[in-house]
Amino acid sequence: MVEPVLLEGGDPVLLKAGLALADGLTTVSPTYARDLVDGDAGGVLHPWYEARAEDLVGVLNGIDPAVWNPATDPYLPAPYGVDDLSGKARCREALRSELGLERREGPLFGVVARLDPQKGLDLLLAAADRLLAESDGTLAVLGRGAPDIEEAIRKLARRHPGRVAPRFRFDAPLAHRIEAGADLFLMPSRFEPCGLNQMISQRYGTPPVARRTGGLADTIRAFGEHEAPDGFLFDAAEPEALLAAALEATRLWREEPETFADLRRRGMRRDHGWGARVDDYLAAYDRALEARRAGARDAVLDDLQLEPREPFLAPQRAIPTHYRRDLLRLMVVDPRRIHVYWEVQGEAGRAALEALTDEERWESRWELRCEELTSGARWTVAVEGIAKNWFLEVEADRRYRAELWMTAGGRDPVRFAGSGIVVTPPEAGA
Amino acid sequence: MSGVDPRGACCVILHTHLPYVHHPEYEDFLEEDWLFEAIVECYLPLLEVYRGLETDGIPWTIAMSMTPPLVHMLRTPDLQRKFERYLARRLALAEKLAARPDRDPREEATAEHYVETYSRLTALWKELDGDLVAAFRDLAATGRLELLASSATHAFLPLLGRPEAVRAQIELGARLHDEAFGRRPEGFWLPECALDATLEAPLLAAGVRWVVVDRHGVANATPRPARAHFAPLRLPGGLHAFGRDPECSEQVWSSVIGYPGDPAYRELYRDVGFDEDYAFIRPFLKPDGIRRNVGLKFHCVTGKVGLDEKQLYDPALALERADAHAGDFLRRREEQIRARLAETGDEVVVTAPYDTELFGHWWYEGPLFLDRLFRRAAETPSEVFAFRHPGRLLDEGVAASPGEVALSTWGRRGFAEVWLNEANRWIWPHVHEAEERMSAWAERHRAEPLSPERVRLLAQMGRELLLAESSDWPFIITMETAAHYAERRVRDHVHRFLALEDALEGRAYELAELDRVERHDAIFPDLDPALWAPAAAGDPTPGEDPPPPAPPLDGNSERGG
Repeated sequence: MVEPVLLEGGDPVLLKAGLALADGLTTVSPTYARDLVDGDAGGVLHPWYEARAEDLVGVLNGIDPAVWNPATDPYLPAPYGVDDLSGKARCREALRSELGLERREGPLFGVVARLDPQKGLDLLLAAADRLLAESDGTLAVLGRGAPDIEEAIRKLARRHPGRVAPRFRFDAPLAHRIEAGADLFLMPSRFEPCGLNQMISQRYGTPPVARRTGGLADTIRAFGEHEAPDGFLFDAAEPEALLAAALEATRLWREEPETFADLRRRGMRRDHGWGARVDDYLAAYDRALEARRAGARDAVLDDLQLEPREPFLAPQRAIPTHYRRDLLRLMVVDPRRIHVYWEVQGEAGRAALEALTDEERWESRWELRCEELTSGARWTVAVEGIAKNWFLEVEADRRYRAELWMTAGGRDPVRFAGSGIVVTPPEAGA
Repeated sequence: MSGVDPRGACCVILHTHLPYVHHPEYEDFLEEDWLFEAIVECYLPLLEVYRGLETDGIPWTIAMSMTPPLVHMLRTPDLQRKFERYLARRLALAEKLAARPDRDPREEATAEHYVETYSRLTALWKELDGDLVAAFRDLAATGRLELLASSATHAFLPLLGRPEAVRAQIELGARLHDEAFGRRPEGFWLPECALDATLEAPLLAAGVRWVVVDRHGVANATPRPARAHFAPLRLPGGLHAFGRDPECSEQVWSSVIGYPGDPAYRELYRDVGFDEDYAFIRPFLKPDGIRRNVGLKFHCVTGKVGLDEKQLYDPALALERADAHAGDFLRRREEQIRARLAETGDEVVVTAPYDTELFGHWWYEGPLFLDRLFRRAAETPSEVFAFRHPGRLLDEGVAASPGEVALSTWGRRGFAEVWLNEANRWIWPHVHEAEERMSAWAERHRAEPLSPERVRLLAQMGRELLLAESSDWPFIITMETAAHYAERRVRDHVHRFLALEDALEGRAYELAELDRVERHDAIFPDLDPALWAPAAAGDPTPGEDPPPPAPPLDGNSERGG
């Protein structure tokens, strides 16, 4: 028997059960813990994170210093350490040669990531042409993921032959060589509960340029803010913000080599091993035991009214995430924007999704097919599989409709839902 | 040619609304104070002004909406009782401040002003027996005050999902107006002035003749009206829309260039709740003892200075300024309308709609301004314009421009972004889903009537849906004023809707629970759920797959944004 309060839309949710029943709660960085309680990272479970804020602790993940050590790394052509970086210069030259990158005046930027929107690759793509032009640098990308992102990176590489080297695969040795051979490591993640690559790149003397989110905010001491910086941070999930930060890092790399070398060495000396984290976990477990003895969890549960004493008025604040429908609805915001939201939890939608293999589901591409009815103009907007809504940019004084489609593997595209027709107003004018 | 004389008209319209906030489970609930502040700062002072003008035989002309949530709250005995306590506390604080021996003598006049004002308003409240709705109804009977209806819970109508949901909002608003004020409404305040082409039919079906929109709602109509917003727009079915005049709005509304920013007027944000010694003020704070604004203020706007540099308020000087501003408003209307008449020769209608809360709450001297406005206009009548009711202008055949409308509102940038953005878009799928389910149940009920007890459940679902539809919640979330409370309200009403539906589907519950939720969300006591039944098969349903099915939008188009 599952307590009703542990259900969302009729389904048991293990995360919610854990939030309700655990004596202590941990997540993988202090900033992410705050985002869960005060921000919107918690989604529909936000009230639960809020209710249990006292019991929620963010402890950073660590890296294995034996595996990630540039002095002993078997995959590197030349070992190096914080006191002698000459090996790193050889690693850079070898990487350039391995990937067929030109010799340029600017820095070699490295990216090792799952290629999906969470990792902010779309921001990098939007900024890449200007970044390459203004830094006179080169770019190495390793990873696999969303086919549309891979395709966009391929196009980028074709536009910049010899300057962008993508490798769409999982390749641990190459990952080590990029961490060592790059000058700057890019992590423009939209969200990142903890993140490991920034810690690795710091240890390899490759300062990260990252978005201030989750564990990135906790592990990187930003240049221009911290008195002992070891990396670069930017705030907005915008290409311009990434570009500005990457160019600032380039400027330092090029014009202030001493400052840059200090920054690099500080990163290499950081202890991102598990040693310190273990102590944090032990403290968290001690607190949980203490809380159990003090009956803290039961008090929280009472407060959240686990027993539905008054079903109609009970302050059970989480409401369903979906309603088992297949639908797509357009809502006009203003002359230039239409809000779209959708749900693919109806019988047909779920059947179509269940027919896919895991591989196909992973590689599925979602798109909104849009039509302006006066001119008959049609266009397609790629959307994230996990998204439920979008803002479409449109024109004033026109009529629109849209449909949600999915393509997976070699299968025919599937139409999930269609909207009614909406009309955008003319501009307000003076 | 019509018989409107003089050729210029100015329509002052006050929109009176507060979200339904009713927490009988608490003796003291912070957000219920919104109503109490509005009663003591706006509604009672305005009643005083209207009655004073009436007594003195001064002609005055104001159109005023009273939304259903406000009417319901004003008639709720529990809230009336709590208000009496609130008013008594304000008076007691004023008296305590006035009696304070160490008071700065320059503050005496203001302290006396509060004692006198709250004593007078207490007497007025008693005289009216706490029935403000009846007081406004009686004034409307004189013909000076024209009352407008509004939608059931101040829903942002263009964003609702189903036509039945829109119809229910409008029809319930019209019925409540009839019940509370004794007649079906002619004028209907569109929440947020939000109009689009789909709303005309349900408004006409409810008997509505005219609505108010923003300037561009009229000026951007198709075809573009040559007289812009200086004449009402006649929509294809015959509904009239009056377009807000930006000049009138800015003069009165803008805190920067508008009247309320005058240095002599009372400063809203400097309050004795923060200024007085804690021990002195503690009895007038909420039980939690947190310092908050308590409504008594002794400083004036002064200028662009910090709160601690504000100078002391002088009620007599503020009254002089209000009188001068009333004169200024009249002079500017005269100039504006005269210039427009000289240019076109056509009749000129200037529509001046405001939130009622501006007069008295945001702009403390606002009611005085209105009083002086009509007294001055009576002393020196204009040759070019008069204050008029929109409905009477229509009766007299004021020339209207024919045109079709698109979406417009009086919100930021003129469209829907305040009520639909990243912060509040999560609300809408729940609202739309509840509408779908409500209509499906209403349809079932029509096909095979439910038992009386199950109709009670369904009617309460309708109340929860209405309350979830209120535009106040997405607005408050956008403004970040009481976002947490607004989010909670949406979740609570959606949750209650779904829990009631579970009961309707057979889950066991106790009648006492139903009693409790009915007492808590107690709007529209005689709600008829049949209002949500689809009108007829084949009704177009905006936002859904349109009939007949459109051909699929298949591929071979360029990928991109």
